[in-house]
Amino acid sequence: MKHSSTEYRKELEKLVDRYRQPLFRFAFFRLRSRMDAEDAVQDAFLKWASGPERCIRNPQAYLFRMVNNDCCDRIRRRTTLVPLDGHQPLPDEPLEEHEAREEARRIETLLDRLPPEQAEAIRLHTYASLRFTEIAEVLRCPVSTVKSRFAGGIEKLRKMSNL
Amino acid sequence: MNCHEFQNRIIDLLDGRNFTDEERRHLEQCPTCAAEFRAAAAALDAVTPRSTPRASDNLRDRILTAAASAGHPRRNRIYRLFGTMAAAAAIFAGVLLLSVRTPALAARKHFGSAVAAMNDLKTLRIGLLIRTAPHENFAYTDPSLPPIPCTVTAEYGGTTRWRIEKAGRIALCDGESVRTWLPEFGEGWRRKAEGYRPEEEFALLLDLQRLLLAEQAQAFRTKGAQYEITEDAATVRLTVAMPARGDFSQSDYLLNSSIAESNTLREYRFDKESGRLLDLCISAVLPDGGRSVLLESTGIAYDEPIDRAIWEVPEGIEWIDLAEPVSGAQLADMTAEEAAARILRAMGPWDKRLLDEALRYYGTGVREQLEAHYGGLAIISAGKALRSGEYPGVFIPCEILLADGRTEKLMLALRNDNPEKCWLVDGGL
Repeated sequence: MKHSSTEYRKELEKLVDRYRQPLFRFAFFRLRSRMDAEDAVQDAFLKWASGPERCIRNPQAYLFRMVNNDCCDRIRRRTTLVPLDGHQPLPDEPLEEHEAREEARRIETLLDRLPPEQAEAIRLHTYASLRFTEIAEVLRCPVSTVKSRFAGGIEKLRKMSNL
Repeated sequence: MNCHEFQNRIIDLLDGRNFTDEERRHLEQCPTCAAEFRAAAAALDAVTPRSTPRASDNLRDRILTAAASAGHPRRNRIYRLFGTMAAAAAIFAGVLLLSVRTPALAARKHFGSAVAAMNDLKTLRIGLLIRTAPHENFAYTDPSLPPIPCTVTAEYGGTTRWRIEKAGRIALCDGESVRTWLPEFGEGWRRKAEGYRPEEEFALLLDLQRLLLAEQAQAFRTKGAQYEITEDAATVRLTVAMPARGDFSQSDYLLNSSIAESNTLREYRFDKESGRLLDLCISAVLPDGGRSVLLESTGIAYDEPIDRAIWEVPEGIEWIDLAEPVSGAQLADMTAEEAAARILRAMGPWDKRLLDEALRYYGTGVREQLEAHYGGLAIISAGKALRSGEYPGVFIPCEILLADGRTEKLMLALRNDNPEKCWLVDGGL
């Protein structure tokens, strides 16, 4: 089996140790659901583990790309049937997590008013703490495009907030 | 440095690049640029979260376990042949009996038009992604597994033929017989098509009319179901929220182990003009309100030519004929717990006579593997039989000591819904 070698297992462990937390944070702020965010992170690692992608040059970019795409898919599929981001704490939800969900809701309300590609560049910067060069790898586009989208988004946010 | 140059660099500075001495001096000396920088930084700050939610402590183990496991570590029902769709007949009866009295009226209308639109269908091919294990029963789903591709192909006419395929399991109906096989193991099961009911829930997909009728009926019957219909110019999207079916009062072992046994959100999108189904997506609704997509279509093709090769049965498969009666009936007239104890005790010396009967659903190759693994075992403990979900058999929790000194916990799946009422192992090994 592809994923049975000790070397590969160690490589996967290293990636999980290094990236699961930043990936989770990114997915959590996008999805505002712990379960969905952890699923998205797990799926990204499993995709890396199950395909030729494991040989890719830049696992960080690959993993963030997978999580980003997964988050977009999950959001697209959501309907109004089951509220995922109610303002009330979920049963047994720690206060810190509820506050983080509320913070995410507030920020997403702002970012949702931007063109999607501008919001995407800003999210990867603020949620995932990625630099422009890293975002360009995630989005598979030139750094200049990332900068332009980021700048456009910041400009619109300034206007929205009268800054 | 002039203001234009500085302001062109603000975005780079927001990216975290350190200020040069020249930039710092300009910022200190130019109130206009300082205000521009502060405003841009404030805009960025407004969308920068302060909190740092942490992933669950067990996420690391979950990922590594899932990556290392080709199958499912918890519910091994690989040879569960007969699914849980005993309710299918009742569903059809329900369609005729129910009156229009619920908010599901609109759902019924749209399902009804889609059913009518598919009356003259000649062929159907659905590409799917399903969270399942390659060798498992087609009905099996698990939100923690990664999605794998699956294809459903059907040809309608005088004789309906169909094929369902995923990486480790294929089912084929040629009109006369239904064969299900595991290519990797070189073995499979054969039964007559006549009277065959697609007992694995998943097989409903090969007949969209039947699937939609079943949804239509459930829309009326199920307490707690919810509906939402949204339309745009060309399509109608129908969303059905359906609670898990089955009895979980004894055990929730099978909760979230199939679409039927999960709380689901089922989304169907229809073409307004033709009434045909364009895509579908079924998600499990998890306890925290989050969702995991269990099944989604990647493409639905109607009336397109089908490659004849898919109807061919491969050579070299060891077929287990399910039409033959159970021989011996050594495991009839006893409780499930007694049968489980007899089966496990027989595995110690590997009593072939009894195990050939108990492991009837297992082919020669797999039995040899089981003997190599379980031969010489001793029973540490065996619990009471549990029922869960819609499974017609029972589960016996057991702990055993293997010949090499390791211990192993099992959930032995036994069923006796055969004419001889003989307990047979259906999974868990």
